[in-house]
Order: sequence, then structure tokens, then C-alpha cells
Amino acid sequence: MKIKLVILFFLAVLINQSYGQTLKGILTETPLKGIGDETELSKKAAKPMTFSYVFSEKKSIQNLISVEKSSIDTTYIEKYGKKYETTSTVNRSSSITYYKNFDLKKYKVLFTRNEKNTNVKETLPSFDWKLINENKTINGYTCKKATTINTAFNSSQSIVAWYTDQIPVNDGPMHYNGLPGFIIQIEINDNTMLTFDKLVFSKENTPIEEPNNSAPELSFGDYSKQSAK
Amino acid sequence: MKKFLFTAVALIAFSGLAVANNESKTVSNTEKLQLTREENTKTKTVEEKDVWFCYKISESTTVNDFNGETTVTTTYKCTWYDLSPSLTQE
Repeated sequence: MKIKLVILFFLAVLINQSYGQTLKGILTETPLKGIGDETELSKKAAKPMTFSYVFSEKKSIQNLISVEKSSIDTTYIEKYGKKYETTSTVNRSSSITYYKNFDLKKYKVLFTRNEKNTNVKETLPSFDWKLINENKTINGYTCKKATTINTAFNSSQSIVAWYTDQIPVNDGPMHYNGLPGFIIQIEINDNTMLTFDKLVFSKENTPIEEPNNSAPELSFGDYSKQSAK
Repeated sequence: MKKFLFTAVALIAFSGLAVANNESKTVSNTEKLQLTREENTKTKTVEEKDVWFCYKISESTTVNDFNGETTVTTTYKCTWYDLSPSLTQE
């Protein structure tokens, strides 16, 4: 009986090891166009942001790794003998984390902007993807096209996703997920593009802890109400 | 083109005599006061013996970390220059 149990234990360990795996990657978020008063972005506003990405044991985490901060620049123009001042402000978060727990259907967005922490917890959004018969190669991966409308977080955005079935992980950047393969690239309203530049598989699992910061955990609705005050 | 040249000449000629009023207004960019539009506005206002000079006083760009989009908010300020004969003849 003891021998059977020991064999069973080793078998369980072996199965766990053979199925254990981590997907790590680097992705770039590139602002292409603005919305609101003007579509053209300044050089500073158009600067891409870089994130790290880890998927393991049905959880994923995306962390901002490039150094970002808000800035205020003042420029002057001279006309009719007078000096006129223009102030350009770029508001960016210095830290951003996107966390997904697929078992608990949990999604978290944490960021720090102008030294103020935000911690928002929501149900993991699901998408009604439309699979399109179109292919393209992105960073060596053969990708298929899918489209959807993102209505999460009070948005209404036209989304184009390029996913690959070469990576059997149904995840992607930010809150995007649920395609039959890994989302390599996301195009948001033709205004922003998120692309995985590098992806690496490893056999070991990587523990992913639920992130938190000093801010109280809020729903997006409560966060919006608080921000509007 | 003729109108634009006339405006430019008129502006240079009267710039020394023009009286910059303290009156000013801040307008949102919903009016889309781009430079070309500003020239058109001047052409119209010169005929009315005054000039509005508009310039961008602020541009704020904010990245929405929830949906990935960048919002641009701009504010323009306009100053009125009076070119009426009673003031220019002084």
C-alpha cells in the first residue's frame, strides 16, 4: 500500500512538472493618435511604453517596466512683438499593473499617477470575438485576425486582435483574452497598438501573487465616482 | 490668396498703431482654431476693423490606463486688436 502511495505521489509530481509552464514576454504599447480635441500627439505623448508579461497557472500579470512620469513643458511663440506662452502637460502613470486570475474570473488594474495610487478590482471582461479569415506574421508568429467591440470600463472601442494558435494560452495584453490562441497584437480604434515583441516559454511554474498597493480596492464604478468629484 | 496677402500687409501696416485691448477670451478647441482658420478669422475681422489673435495656451495629454487611449485637451486664448480708424489715426 505504501509503495503504491509513493508511486502515486511521484507520478503526480511528474505530471505536474510536465504540465507546469510559464510564458514570459515583453510588450510595447504605442500611442498612434489621440482622441478629444486633437488627434495628433506630441513627441512625448507618442512615446511607447514597455511592459513585462508573465502567464503561469491560469494567472497573468503585466507590469510597466519603462520609466514614465507626468511632465509639464512651457514653450513661447513671439507674434506682433509679444511673447505668448503655451503649456503642454503629459499625464502618464509611473507604475501600471494588469492582473488576471482566470479561475476566479478576477481582473485588477493598479497604477500610480502623480504619486497617487489606484487599485481597481473587477470581474474579468469577456469578449464576443468575431474570427476573420485573414493572416499575418508578427515577430515570427503566424497570426489570425479577430475583431470585437470593447465595452469594458465605459468604453466603446473597435478592437482588432491578432492571435496565434502556436501558443496555446488564451490570454493577451491588458484585459483582452478568450481567443483560441495567444493575442500577439491588439489595435484599439486605430489609436493605440499593443504588440508582444518577445515571448519565451519555460517548463517551470512561476508563482504570481495578487498585486496590491496602499490604495483601497475599488470597483471601476466607485473609482469613476471618486475621480469625478 | 489675394485676401490673405491683403490681410498680411494690413496687419504689418497697422500693427504699430493697433491698440491691444485688455479684453480677452478663452475658447475651447471645439471651435478648432487652427492657424489657417485663425487667418480666415483675421481676414473677416480686418474688414470689421478689428483683429482677434488666437493661440494655444495649454495642451493636456492623458493616457487612460483602463482602455489604452490617449485624450488630448487643448485650450486657446484670443486677444482682440482694435484697428478702427479713430484709434489708428491718433
